[in-house]
Amino acid sequence: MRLLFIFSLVMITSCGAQKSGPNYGKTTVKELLTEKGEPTKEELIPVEDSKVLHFDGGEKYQVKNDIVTNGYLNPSKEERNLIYWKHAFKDCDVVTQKLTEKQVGHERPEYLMKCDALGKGVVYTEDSDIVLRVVEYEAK
Amino acid sequence: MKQNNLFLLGLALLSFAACTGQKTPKSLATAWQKQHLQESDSLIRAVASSNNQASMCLSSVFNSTTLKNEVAEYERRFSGNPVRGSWKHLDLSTLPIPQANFLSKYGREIGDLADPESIDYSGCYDLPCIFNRIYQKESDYIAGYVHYLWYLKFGHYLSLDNKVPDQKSPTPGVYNNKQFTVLDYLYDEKELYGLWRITHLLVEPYISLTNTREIQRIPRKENLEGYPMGVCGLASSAGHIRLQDGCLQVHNVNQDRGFLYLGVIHEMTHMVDYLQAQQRKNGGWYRSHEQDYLDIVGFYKVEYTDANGKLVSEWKLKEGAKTIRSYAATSPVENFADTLAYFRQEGEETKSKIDARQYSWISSNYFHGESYDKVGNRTRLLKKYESAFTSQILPKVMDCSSTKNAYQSNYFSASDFPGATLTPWMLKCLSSEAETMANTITARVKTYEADGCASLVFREDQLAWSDAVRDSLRRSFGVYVQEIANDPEYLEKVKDFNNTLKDPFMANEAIFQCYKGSTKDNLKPCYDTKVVEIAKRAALDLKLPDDQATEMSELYLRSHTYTEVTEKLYLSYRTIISAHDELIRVESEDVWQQCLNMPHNDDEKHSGSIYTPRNGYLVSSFFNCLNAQLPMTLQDLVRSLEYEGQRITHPVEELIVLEFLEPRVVEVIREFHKEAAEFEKEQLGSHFEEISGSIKDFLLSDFGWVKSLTDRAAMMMSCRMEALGQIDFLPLYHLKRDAFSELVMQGPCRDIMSDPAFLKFLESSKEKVDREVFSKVEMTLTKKAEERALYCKEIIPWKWERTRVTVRLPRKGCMSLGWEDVERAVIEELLKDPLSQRFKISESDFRSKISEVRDAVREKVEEKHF
Repeated sequence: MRLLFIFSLVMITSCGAQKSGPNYGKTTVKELLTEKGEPTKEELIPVEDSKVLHFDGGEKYQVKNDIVTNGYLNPSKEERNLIYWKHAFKDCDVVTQKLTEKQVGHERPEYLMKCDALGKGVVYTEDSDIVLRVVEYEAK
Repeated sequence: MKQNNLFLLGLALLSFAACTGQKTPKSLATAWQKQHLQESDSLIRAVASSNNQASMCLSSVFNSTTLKNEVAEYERRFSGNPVRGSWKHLDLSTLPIPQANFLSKYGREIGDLADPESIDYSGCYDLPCIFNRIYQKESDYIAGYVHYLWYLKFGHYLSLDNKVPDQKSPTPGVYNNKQFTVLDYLYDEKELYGLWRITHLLVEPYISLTNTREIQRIPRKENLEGYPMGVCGLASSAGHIRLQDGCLQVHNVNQDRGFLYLGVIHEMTHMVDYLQAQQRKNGGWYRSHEQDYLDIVGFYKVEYTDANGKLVSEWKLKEGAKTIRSYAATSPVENFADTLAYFRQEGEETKSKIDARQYSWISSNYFHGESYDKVGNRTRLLKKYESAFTSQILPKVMDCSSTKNAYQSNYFSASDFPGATLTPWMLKCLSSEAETMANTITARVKTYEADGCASLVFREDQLAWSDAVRDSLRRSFGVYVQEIANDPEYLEKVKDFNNTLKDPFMANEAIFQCYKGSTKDNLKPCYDTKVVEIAKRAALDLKLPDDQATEMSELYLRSHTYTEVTEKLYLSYRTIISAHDELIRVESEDVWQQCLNMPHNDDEKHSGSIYTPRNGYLVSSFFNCLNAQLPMTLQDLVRSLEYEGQRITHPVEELIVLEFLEPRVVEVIREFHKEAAEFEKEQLGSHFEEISGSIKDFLLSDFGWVKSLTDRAAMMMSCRMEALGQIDFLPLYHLKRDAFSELVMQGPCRDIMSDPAFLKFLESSKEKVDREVFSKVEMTLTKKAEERALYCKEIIPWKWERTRVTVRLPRKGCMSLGWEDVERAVIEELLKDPLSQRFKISESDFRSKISEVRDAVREKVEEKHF
C-alpha cells in the first residue's frame, strides 16, 4: 500500500514536472538565473538572508543565501480548477491554512491547501473553485 | 420627390441587407426588439399627469401605478411557450412568462422557510401579490412591484425569506443565535425606493450578472454573522449578496443620496469583477487582479514564506497612489468595487479624488465612456434627450417655415441663426416650440432620470443646464434652418431617413461586427465607428451628397447609442433564454444523466472548464464526461432557441447567446450536483457501517501497515490509509479520503492501539520499540532546541543595518542560558510517551542518550537559525 502511495506521488510529480523548475532546497541562484534569465526585480523581504526574485509571467522565487527555497507561480490552464488539485492531492495528507489572518473589510479570506509530500500548495479564495497561485517548496 | 426618395432609401436598405445577408444572416435579437421594444413611457406618463412637473423628482412618482406600468412594459418583452407546472394553487401556464419562470425557479425559496404553509397565498394570481403577502400588505403594495422589477431588470432577485445564504444555523429564522420573523428580513419603503432607483441607475454590465442569484437582507439591527459591525455587505462568488442595515441607508429630501446606493452597487460590482474574470478567460479569479488594473491604481503583491514557514500574501499600494477612500486602498478587489460604485453615484467626488487615468479607464471600460460628475451628467442627459427629440425638430421646422400664427416666445433671437433668412413669424414659432421642448426635457430629466434632481440641486447647475439645453436646441434647429436655405429638398430626405431610425438592424449588425469573443470587452469605440460606417453606406446608396450622408449616419448613431443598443441586445437574449428555461433544464438533465450512467473511476486528471463544482468534488470520469458533452449540448440548445419561428443563424449571435446560456446551464447542473451530493452523503454513513467491522478485522489480522512503533500520529495515519485502501466503494461526489477519513478514525482505527491483539504485537516488538523510542531523542531535542532558537531570534532581532555576525554571538549566549530547560522539556515529553511508560524507560536512560547527541544537535540548530 505504502509502495502504491509513493508510486502515485511519483507519478503526480512526474506528470506535473512538464515545466522544468528548480529543485527547491538545492538549486542555486546561479542555476536559477541560467534557466530563467535575469530577474525583472529583486525584492527584499523581512526574512533573514532572503529575498524574492521576480521573473516574467508572474513567476517569483524566494532565495535564502544562495539557495532557492520557494516558488510562487501562476497556475497553468488546467491547474486553475481547485478540483484538479483536490485530485492531484487525493493520496496526500493535505493541510489547509487560512492566509488572511486579519479580515480586511469584507473580502473573502484566502486559503493555502498544501501537500508537503509533493512540496506543492495552491492558494484559493474561500468559496471559489479557482486557484490563484501555485506555491512550490522542498518536498518533505 | 419625397416618394422618389423613400423608394431609393428602401432600395438602399434592401440592397444593404442583401449584400450583408450572405455573410451576416438576420439576427434573432433584431426580430425580438422590433416586436417588443418601444420607448419606455410609464414615467413620462406619470410626469405628464402631474400638475407640478417642475418640482418633481424620481421619488415623486414612486407609487404602485408607476411601478405597475413599468412592470407591464417589461412583461410585454416576453413571449414564447407558456411555462408548464404549478406553484401552490397556481397553474404556471396561466402566468406571464417571467412570473412563471420566477416561481418555477425560486418558488420554494420565498416566504417563511421554517414554516412554508404559514403564509396564505390563496387569492393571489400574480407575483407582486404573492410578494406582498410575504410583506403582510395589500396586493397592490409597492414592495411586490419593486421585487418583481428588480428580477425583470437584473435577472436575479431580492430575497423575501428568512434563510440567509451561508448562515450558521440550519434553521430558517435563526440568525446570530436569535430568532426572527420573516418581516425582519424585508425592506422598508425608503430602502425599496433606493433599490428601485438603482434599477434606473445601472446598465450593462450590471444587468447581465449571470453569476448572481439573490440579494438577501439580514435581519434589521443585526451584524453580518462572523463579521464586525462596520461590514454592511458581502458578495459571494456562490451567487449571493448579503446586506446589512448600514448598506441600506437612504437620506435627503429626494432620497437620492445615502450609502444604499454605494453599498449595493459596491456589492454588485464584486459580482461584475468575478464574472468578467470568468468571461475573459485570462485565468484569474477577479478582473481587478489583471495587470492593467493593478498598474493603473498602483497595487502590487508581496508574497514570501516567513521564518516560521508560513506563507505571507499581501497587497501593497505604491506610495502616492490615490484612492476614493481609505477602504479602497485595502486590495484591488475592494478598490474596484468601491471606485466603480462611487464613480456611478458620487461622480463629482470621484473625479476629484482618484487618478485621472483610473477615472478614464473606468469610464471607458465600464460606463461606455460616460461619467457622472456634473458636466458628465449634463452632457449624457442632453445627448439622450437630443436624440429622443431629434425626430420632432424636423416636423416643427417644417410647420414653422409656413406658419402665420402669432407666437409670443423670445427663446431664440435672429442672431441665433446667422446666415439664415427667417420671417418674424417663423422665428417666434421656432422659439415657442423650442421653449416648450426645453421645459419638457427638463421635467423629464428631473423625473425620469435617476440622476436628474441630484444634478440640478444648485442654482448654478440649473442655469448651466438651461444654457446647455438652449444651445443644443439652437444647434439642432439651426441645422435644419440652414439646410432649408441650402437645399429645399433636404428636409424630405432626412424625413425619409427618419423611418430607418427606429430599426435596430444596423446597430445590432455593428455590434456583431465588433464582437471579438466577449461582450464584456469594451466594444464602444469600434461600435461608434462601425455603426456610422454602415448607416452612411445605406445613406450613400440614396445618392445623397457625402456631407448629408454623414449627417444622417451620425443621426442614426445618436438614435442608437452604444449603451442603449447593448442593453437592448443583451436584454433580448436574456429574455429569449429565460423563455426557454424548461428546455434548458431538460437538456441539462439529459447530459447529467448520460454522464451519471457511464462507468466511473477517479484515475484520470480533471480536464475541462465549463462545469466546475464550486465546493465539493466530482470524480474525474464524471467531470470529464460533463465537460466533453457540454459544448455540444450548449450548441444544440442555442440552435433550438427560437422567437416566433425564427432561430439563430447569425454566427456571431450564436457566440453571444452562448455567453448568456452557459451560466444558466452550469447553474442547473450545479443544482443536480448539490442534490446528488447530499443524497450520497447520507448513503456514505450507512455503507461504512456495513464494512466497518471487516475493516477492523483486517487491520488486526496483519500489522504490516504499522510503519512506526513509537510515533502515534504516524501510526494513526498508516491505520487510516490502510483502512481507506480496504474500501472499494467509490463516491462520485466526495473525495474518498475526505468522505471516509473521519469515519475510519472514529471507527476501526479509534481504539486500535489498546486492542489486545495490537498490544500483543507490541510486546513481540520490544527490542524494536526500544530502538525507536531512543531514536526519538535526537528528533525531540532538535525540535525543542529550534523552539529556543526561534525565541532567541525574536528577542535579539536581526535588522537591516546589522550583519549576521553581530547577532550570532548574543543569540548563542541566549541558547546557553536556556539549554538546561530545553533538555528538561525533552525528557518530560519523552517520559509521557505511553511506550516509555509501558517499557519502563527511565530519565537517566534518556539523559545518557541526550549526552550522545547534544553537541551535534546544538551546532546544527545554531547554524540553521543564527
